[in-house]
Amino acid sequence: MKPDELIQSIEQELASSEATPTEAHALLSALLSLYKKQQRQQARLIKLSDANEAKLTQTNKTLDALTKNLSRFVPNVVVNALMQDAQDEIVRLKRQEITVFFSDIVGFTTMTERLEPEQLATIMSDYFTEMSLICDRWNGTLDQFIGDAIVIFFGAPDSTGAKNDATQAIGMALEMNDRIKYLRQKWSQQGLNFDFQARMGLSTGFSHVGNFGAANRLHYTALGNVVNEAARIQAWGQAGQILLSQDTYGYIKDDYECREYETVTLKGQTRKLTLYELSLQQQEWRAQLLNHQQAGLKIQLDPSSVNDKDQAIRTLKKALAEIEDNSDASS
Amino acid sequence: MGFSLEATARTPAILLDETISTLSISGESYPEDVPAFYEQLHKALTSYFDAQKEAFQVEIKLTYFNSSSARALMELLDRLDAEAAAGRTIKVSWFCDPDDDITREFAEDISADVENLSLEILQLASEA
Repeated sequence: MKPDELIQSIEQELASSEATPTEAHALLSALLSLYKKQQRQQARLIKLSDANEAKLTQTNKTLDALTKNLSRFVPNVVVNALMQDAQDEIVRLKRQEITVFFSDIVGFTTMTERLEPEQLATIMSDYFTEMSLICDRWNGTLDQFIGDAIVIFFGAPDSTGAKNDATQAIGMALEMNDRIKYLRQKWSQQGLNFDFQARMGLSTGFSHVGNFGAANRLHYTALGNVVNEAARIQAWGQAGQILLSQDTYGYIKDDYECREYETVTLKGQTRKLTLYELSLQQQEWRAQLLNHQQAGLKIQLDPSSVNDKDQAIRTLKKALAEIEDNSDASS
Repeated sequence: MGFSLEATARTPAILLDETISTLSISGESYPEDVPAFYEQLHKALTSYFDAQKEAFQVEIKLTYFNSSSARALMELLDRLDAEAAAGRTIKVSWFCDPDDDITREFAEDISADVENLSLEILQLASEA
């Protein structure tokens, strides 16, 4: 008997008050049987729901770990496109004005001869990790590490305007330069004394950006003269110098102090190019890290220079509590 | 001749073939409106059972189903079991992925509640 029919029969019997004990017993027995079946079905559904939830949780954990690890190898733009299975986005190429940053360690070959492989691995891991973090902080797209060289571009996949992209690139280069000094001190304390310095070059221009390569092996990168130019400009400089192309200089000259360095014909190019050297003494980039001002509040933060983190956190928490208490009192 | 629904991302393919008296449900099942989705099948079954009296074979090949679909499947099996109790020979073959313990355990649990039809749990052949 179906549940509806059973319920209807019981209701009819109760209404008529003429049910015999045998009929009432049969109905009660059917009701009990149905109730037990529903209990079993409910238990099955709960068990299934729990199993599906557990499977989903496990799948999500695996996916999270995969995404996290994947973004250590490829830019987030590629990870996002893969996650959305956006084939169009994966193969799309874009012509875009970008600022390319190219850096190289001076005397790397000599360094590899002097150091044990383990020491070299520690140093390079430290260096690349620190530089990557700085790149992320300034919203750069880390294109690739080529041996000891780093290639980063600004303006793709997302651009905040060519001038702002160039300004961000300069801020990053200055912070990297500053960070290298800190790394030298750190390594020196570990007994590794050598003059670790990088040359950096920046160039701005149009390029094709997207996932290039073979159909089964793509790499999100930028192709165009601007990339080669950044590499050549870098090679022209001295240890610790940051050199810029004319186009990069044009975008950042009002914000950063530079001096005309040299007019050169870069290797492989025919036209002459005036290079500019970025002053390393200026601190404007620090203010860009976090610089906020409003009535009653002024904050300027450079996380890489904070030497007593606990004290900084205590101060910020105290300030936060003061603001919250004050807003509670006034509301 | 019969009733059929193409599979979508959220709903299974359903084929009720009256000429060979079979019903097949395959794919994934988590429709937005589960009762409305399975109601279509129940209507088609009502017409079929009214018109045909032959032995009936059912194949279930679901790789994923949510709790509401599980409830709909239990209702379907209850209905088929009632039909078998009324005298029709009904055989249900439930195919489970070898790695899918959840579906297999669910099918095994359900088999305890069917009394009149024949329910067999089989391994889904892996796709070549």
